[in-house]
Order: sequence, then structure tokens, then C-alpha cells
Amino acid sequence: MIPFLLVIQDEDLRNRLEEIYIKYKKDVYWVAKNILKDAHESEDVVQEAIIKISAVIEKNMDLECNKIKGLFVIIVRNLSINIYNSRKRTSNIAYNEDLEYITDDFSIEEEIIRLDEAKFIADALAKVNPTYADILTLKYYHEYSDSEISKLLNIKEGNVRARLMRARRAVKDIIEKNQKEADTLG
Amino acid sequence: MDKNNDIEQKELLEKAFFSYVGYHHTQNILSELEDHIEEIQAIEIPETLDKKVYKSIQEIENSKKSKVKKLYDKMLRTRAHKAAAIFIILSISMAVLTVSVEAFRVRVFNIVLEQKEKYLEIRMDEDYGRTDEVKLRGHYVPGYIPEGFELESTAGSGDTATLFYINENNQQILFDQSPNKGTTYQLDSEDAIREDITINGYKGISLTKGERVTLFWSGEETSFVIIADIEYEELIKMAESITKNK
Repeated sequence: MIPFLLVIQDEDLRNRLEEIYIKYKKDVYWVAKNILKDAHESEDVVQEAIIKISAVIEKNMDLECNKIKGLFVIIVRNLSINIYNSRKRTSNIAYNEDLEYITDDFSIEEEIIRLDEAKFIADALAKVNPTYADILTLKYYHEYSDSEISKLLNIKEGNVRARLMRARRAVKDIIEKNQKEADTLG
Repeated sequence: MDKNNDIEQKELLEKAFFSYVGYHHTQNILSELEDHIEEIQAIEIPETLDKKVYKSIQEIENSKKSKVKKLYDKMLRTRAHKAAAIFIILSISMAVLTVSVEAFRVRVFNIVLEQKEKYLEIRMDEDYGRTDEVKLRGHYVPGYIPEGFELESTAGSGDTATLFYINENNQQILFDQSPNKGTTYQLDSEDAIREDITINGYKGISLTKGERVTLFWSGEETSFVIIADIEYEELIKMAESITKNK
């Protein structure tokens, strides 16, 4: 029975990948081209993103929901940024993703967080650094492991952890800054 | 509340909060795309991109099929180590679980897996090393095999047996037989057309989903399943020709 079950699964995977590509190819190609300004590189990125999605697609079954579209865009955007950075031979984000310099000092008990602040934080975090918002989304919204994120974004696992810590620290800064502003106004 | 529980609850709260941030970030991404909808719709996708992506998808499919074939060939050649067999079957079954929307229950190589709400229940018969090639003597075999198909391999133990037929186009027919007592099948019935059938006087059902046809019926002591992507009439003819090989 095993081969047949897997044939069913393979066909389903192929159909789902094709469906995802057909549905969202214009969006992701636009995203890649906006960053890379190069048609061939943008094509390569979209192609690579489909391969990466194939490895995690089981966790994203509902192709109609916006979650899979968001995931596709996040992968394409991050792969495009990687290429852009390597092309420039310098990081436009310019952060040293070295674990030894980083401590995770976010603690929810020290922060007064209201749930309705989540949208404000998402907006602000994307302005600070979109890759911070992307990695928090992959980790906590899509619930991927560090290893899975590392493979999806073509970055080392250590850099995944480092970027996550920086993202959390950025969230802390945003919350504190917002609270200070509220106190000043109050 | 003890310290460990306290930490656990805070971690859960953080995860929930960051998940909600991630949700809004996703909404922002979609909103940004919506703001540029005209520009995006006007984009011409190069033919080369379509070709590259479809080629990749094909390669992914081929790669997975190749891995499965190798795995299965290996399982047929050697009696798998008990722990390894459980691992392989569990891995595969978990993968199948993710494509099912309903509670999942499948018997694979004498192992019963049942997806409960929060856990996977596994039950095993005592002789679960059903990976050896079986001799067809004493088992049911079809007298009629659709044109071009040949017996590729067999697997089973005791009264259970699975026969695989294949043709040169790599189409496969699976024929499975198991004792009625204690047998549980989970058939892919989602969006399938279900019909009642009678095979040699025994009642059963057929499920047609796209090109895939599944036949299930029970005899006096044995239940049968045939699955294939071939014509319905051919499969019925094959089912009706099944007799015990003495």
C-alpha cells in the first residue's frame, strides 16, 4: 500500500506546487524584480522559492488562504535580498549576525503588551527591518524550526537565531519607545 | 504555580503574541501587494520562468518517486530491522496524515495507525514483518490482468498479501488481500464518486477520483482492495477473475 499512498501524495504535491505558482507568480516575480532589477536573477529566485516551498508545503495545506501567499513572498523577498547583498558584496542591512555579541533580553513580563499593539508592532518592525518581521513570522506564525528557516532563507542556523534575537530586541525597543511617547503625552 | 510552569506559560504567551505580530506582518505584505495590483497584473511572466518552475516541480516529483522506489525495493529485498521498519512506516504515514482532512486510520504492513484528536495511536499485530516476498500459493490471484501489465512484486505475511502489477508506462495496479477479521482499511474517499458494486456475488464499493479507481469488496473470509489509474471496466474484469491459487 505504501507506494500507492505515496503516489497519491506525490501527485498532490505536484498539483499544489503548480497551483501555488500559477496563483502567485506575478506577485512574487514583481517582489523579486523590485529588489534585484534583473529578470534572470528574479526568475532564479522564484524557481528556488518553489523548491523550498515543496519541502514545507505539508504545513500549509490551504492554498486559498493568505498565509501561503505571505510565505511565498517572504521567501522570495529574503532570497532576493541575499542575492542583492552578495552582488553588492556588502550587507545593506549591515548587521553582524554573530551570536557571541547578542543576548536575548526580551521578556514579556517586563513589557506591558496589549494584543491590539500587535499590528502597530508589525508595522513598526517592518520599517526598522523587514527581515526581522519576516523571521518572526516564519518562526511564530508559520511555526517553522530554526533549521527549516535556515533552509528556506539560505542562511546559517546560527544566523537564524541571531536574527530572531535581534528581531525580539527590536520589538522590545518599539514597545518601550511607544510607552515613553504615551507617557510623555499622558 | 511552580517556576517551570510559570516559565512555560510566559513562553506560550510570547509565542502567541509573536504569532499575532506575524499574522499582521503577513496582512501588511498582502496589503502592500494590493496597493500595487495594477502594476503586478500588468507584469508579463517570461516563458523561461514558467519552463524553469515546471521543470523544477517535475524534478521534485521524480526525486520523491525515486526515493520511495529505492526504499520500497530495499524493504522487499531484506527483512527490515524492527525499529527501522517502524520508523519508516511512521514517517511515511505521518506524511500521508498531513494530506488528509479527516481522522486518519490506515493499516500498513500490519500496523494500525489511528490519528486521534491529539495523538497518533499505533497498534501492531504480532507478525508485523510484512516485508518479504510472498509465495502466491494459497493466496488469491487474478486470472485476468489488463493488457500490458505484469506482476512486479509481492509483499505480505500469513493470509495477507499485496501484489503489484506494472506496465511499460509505469502505471501500477495494487491488489491487496487480507483476512476479514481485524482488517481496517482507510481509502481515499474525499471528493470521490462512490458506487455499490458486486464482485462474484459479494458486495463492495468502488471509489472513482479523477483517473484513480479503487475497488473494495469482502468475500467469505477475505477482503480485497484493487487500486489503479486504469479503466473502470478493466479493473472490474480483473476483480471478477480472482480465484484462490491452489
